[in-house]
Amino acid sequence: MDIKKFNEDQILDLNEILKIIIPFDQKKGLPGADEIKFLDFLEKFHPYFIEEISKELSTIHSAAERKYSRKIIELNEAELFSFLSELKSENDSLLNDLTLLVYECYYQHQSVLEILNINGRAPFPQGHEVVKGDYELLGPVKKMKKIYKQV
Amino acid sequence: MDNNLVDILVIGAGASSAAAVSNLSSLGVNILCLEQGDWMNTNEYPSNFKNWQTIRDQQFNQSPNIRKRETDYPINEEDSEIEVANFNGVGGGTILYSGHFPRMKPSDFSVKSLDGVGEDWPISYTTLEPYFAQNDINMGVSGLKGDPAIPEHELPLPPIAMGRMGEVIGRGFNKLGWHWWPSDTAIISEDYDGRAKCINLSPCNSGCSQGAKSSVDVAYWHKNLRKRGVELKTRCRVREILVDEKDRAKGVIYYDENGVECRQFAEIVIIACNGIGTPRILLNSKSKYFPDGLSNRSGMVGKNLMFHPWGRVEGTFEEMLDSHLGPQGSCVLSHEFYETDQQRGFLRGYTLQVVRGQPPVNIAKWGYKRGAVPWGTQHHESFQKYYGKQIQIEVCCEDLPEISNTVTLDPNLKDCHGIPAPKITYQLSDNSRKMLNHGLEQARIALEAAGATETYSHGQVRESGWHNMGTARMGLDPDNSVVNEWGQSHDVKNLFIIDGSVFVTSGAVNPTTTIQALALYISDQIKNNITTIIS
Repeated sequence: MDIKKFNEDQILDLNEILKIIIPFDQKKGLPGADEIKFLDFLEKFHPYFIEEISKELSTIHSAAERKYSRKIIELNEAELFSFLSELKSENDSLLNDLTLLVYECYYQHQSVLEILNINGRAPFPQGHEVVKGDYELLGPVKKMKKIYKQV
Repeated sequence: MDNNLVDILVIGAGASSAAAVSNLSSLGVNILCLEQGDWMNTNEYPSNFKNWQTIRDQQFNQSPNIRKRETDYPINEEDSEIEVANFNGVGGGTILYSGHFPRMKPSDFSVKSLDGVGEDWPISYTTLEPYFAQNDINMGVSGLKGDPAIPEHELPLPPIAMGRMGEVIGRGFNKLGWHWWPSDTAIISEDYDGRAKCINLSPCNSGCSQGAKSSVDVAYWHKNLRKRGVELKTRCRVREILVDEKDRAKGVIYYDENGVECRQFAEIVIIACNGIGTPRILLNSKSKYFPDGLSNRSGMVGKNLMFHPWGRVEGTFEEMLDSHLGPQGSCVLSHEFYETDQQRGFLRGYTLQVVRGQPPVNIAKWGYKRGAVPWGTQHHESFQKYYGKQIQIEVCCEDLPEISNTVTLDPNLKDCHGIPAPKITYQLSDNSRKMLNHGLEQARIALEAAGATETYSHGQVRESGWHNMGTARMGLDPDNSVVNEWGQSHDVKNLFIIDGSVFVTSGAVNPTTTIQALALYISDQIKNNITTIIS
């Protein structure tokens, strides 16, 4: 399944919802979730979620029109946050999968990791430095008698 | 010799098989191993890629029901509190294990005598001690001599780095006056046996790109196959073991890489398919001589399934510990609560296994699930509160054999070859629940003593079925066990079982080192008695 499953409204709605899930953080300079090419990630790694997300977006779109007589893109940030929170209070599982996928995409995105000072490279072949640790701390344990049961 | 007859046929190429074949190869006989999975290519492991956290959760997911490789078989877990974790390929479960490698202790082999529960093993720690030592050398195990919680033993390599987090939790244990020690770890801390040392990639449990984790493909099989007479065939899935009118195993029927049904005959058959796969094959091997499944005249095949009931406590600290770096599942452990103390309200005990903090995606996703890393303007602050600042203590509880915890054959579910799949029925006992709750509480106390400002406990962790044991257990009584003290089937004299199925009780430690010591021990019995077994 590909992202063509989403119609134009859904893509616009999703973009607004992504901004709510992880908003741009001006203080830290961190991008919002709408800036991390989430749809590309979704299509590449999790295409089987596209249908479910599409249905949820339709549900949210309709609910917004009923409640506000407006489209999602016409709601301001506070309204949309409040609206989505209200929907989630009625259905706790709503947008959970989407949120987890957004987090998965976000915390593997190069620009996010660079700003957070997290290595964005593959772990191999460079690996990481880990301090050996102070084995002198084992002094009190070495003074213990044998604590295993002798049989 | 008939091309289709080998001296020894081994089913499965995981931890126990690798060790046994290494030992048996000195006989100079023909040994054939049939493995349903593939050879692994270290270039394909997730840690080669930027999106390693996603790849780990898909192609290298620990659950065969999620991973769904062609080489996997499905498992019905609807009636189980624990989901099975495994891997099918050359190396078996060691491809994805963390390499945490503590030995079972002397008391683990005498649970009935000491505590009046379970059964005693027909062998002791002393029986296995030389095999533990040999296996440590063969595998490449790192650790520190002098632990007062286990009989003295030398390790071939110094311990892996415990990092700042190891120091922090060590001070916490010291404050409480509790035992702790760097874990014996099947990861090489120095270059060893032609392999390069650990470079702290971190996600050991999705395959080690460096080859420093001692999975048995790199630690054993490459050497095994240089020995004359040893052959390993991949993508060969055994359907059933054939038996003759004299109650002797004749060989197997298997499907080759093209799905073609084949027969392979052998003088001796060894099963090494883990605590789920082994009973599955035995139960699928029905004949007029064994209508309830092969080697099942006791009715004990598939019974007494043991996992390790599992809990997890995450502690969050104010300072950056870089705790997300280093071998994920191995750091230090505490055996303060390993042996029975009846005042605790339960019998037997548990390990507190200190593991590293989680990588970024897990911090965010796990945090979201428990409400700690929410949506919105607080999101980034919440994430940074936890990242690199967490220490986890896992609670690994001893499981006791229960006749009602079983592996059976699912009447409907089948693998891609049409072979009936296993069905798991498993519930934690009251003793396990009490033990687990005690362990979660003590882990919390340890983390707080170390300075954690916040802790989060959960358990039973459903996705924790790494250790599958007991389903073809060892014993002296043929009415109450499947194999004898030499791993030899009570019913079929040229059939041996060498994996975790033969465990009588589970101990409270990761079982791989004990499984491999058993495999070396059992294969010694085969070597010493091969003429009698074959005749």
